[in-house]
Amino acid sequence: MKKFSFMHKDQSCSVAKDRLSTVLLADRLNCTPEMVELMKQEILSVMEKYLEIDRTRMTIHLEITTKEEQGVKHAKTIQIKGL
Amino acid sequence: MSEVIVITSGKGGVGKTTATANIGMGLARMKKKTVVIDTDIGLRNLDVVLGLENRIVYNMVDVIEGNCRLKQALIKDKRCPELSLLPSAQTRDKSAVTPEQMIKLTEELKEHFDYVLLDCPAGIEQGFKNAIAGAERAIVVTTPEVSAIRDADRIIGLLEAAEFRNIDLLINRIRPDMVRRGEMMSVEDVVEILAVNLIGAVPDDEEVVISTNQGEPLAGDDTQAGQAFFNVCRRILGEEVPLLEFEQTTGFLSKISGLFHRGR
Repeated sequence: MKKFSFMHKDQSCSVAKDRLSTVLLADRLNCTPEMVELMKQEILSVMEKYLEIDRTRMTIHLEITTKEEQGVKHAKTIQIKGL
Repeated sequence: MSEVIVITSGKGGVGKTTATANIGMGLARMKKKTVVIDTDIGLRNLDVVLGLENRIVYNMVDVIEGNCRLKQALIKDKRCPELSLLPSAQTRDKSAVTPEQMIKLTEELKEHFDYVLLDCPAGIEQGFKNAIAGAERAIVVTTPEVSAIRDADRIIGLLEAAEFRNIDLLINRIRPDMVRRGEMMSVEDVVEILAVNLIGAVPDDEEVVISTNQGEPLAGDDTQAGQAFFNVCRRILGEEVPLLEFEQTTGFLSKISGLFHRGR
């Protein structure tokens, strides 16, 4: 995350938001941040078996979103970016 | 059509009791017959925040156990007769009542009041389960801090599991100066993280401490917090009220920095 020089330090608010998204993800999924990391690595390994991918350029983004459309109250999604 | 609303948070000390007292007083000042119930058995506080501590004769546990009639335990506020308090018991604990008994109590209260507000204790155990039992709607109180938001998220999950359809968020103790400096999460940040409808944002206001010292709720007063709480009441009644000046926390500088944060 780039910042201009007049933002003299990493503002605590953005640190808080990053930490919260990690912690809440683990809480909601009922699994620890370490387990989330392992899961991401294993997902990449599975994809490597079927696709030509560059592991160093890929990120897996785990996000839990709530959607109310079509009668579905909760949707838990895993987004894979960088393909 | 009466509404039963539980005011909860998970985390302690974020302002549930203050919110219950002020939302209750605000609704009463709008001429709605309102009862506020302190469900924190063993650690009662709603009476003291409302300045009614000297008028307690009977309490909620007495009513449930049949030691007295409901009317004998209810304390009508002399400043605003539309508001009544059902106080908690100080010398018992949370095992003194069951969720089923709470449902029976709120059903009876619905016959006499337009709004039944339950001040929930902190935590997720028996006290929480009792407080939510008879409620149809929840207001989750949080502050813009990491631990409060984490607990609020957990509480929202538990409420959804208990099939609450109507969950609103109240963000308390906002410091717009800290938000502008990027050292406190904004209203928008918190709403985005918790993904729940916002019913109000209350600034950190010295007047709240003064009002508790004096036992005089400030909803509807000319103070920042008083106006914010009053707006919560208006929104509960269905009015569309825009967030007040001090409630909005996106200033010029944070709008600029916001452009760069979006790349995340």
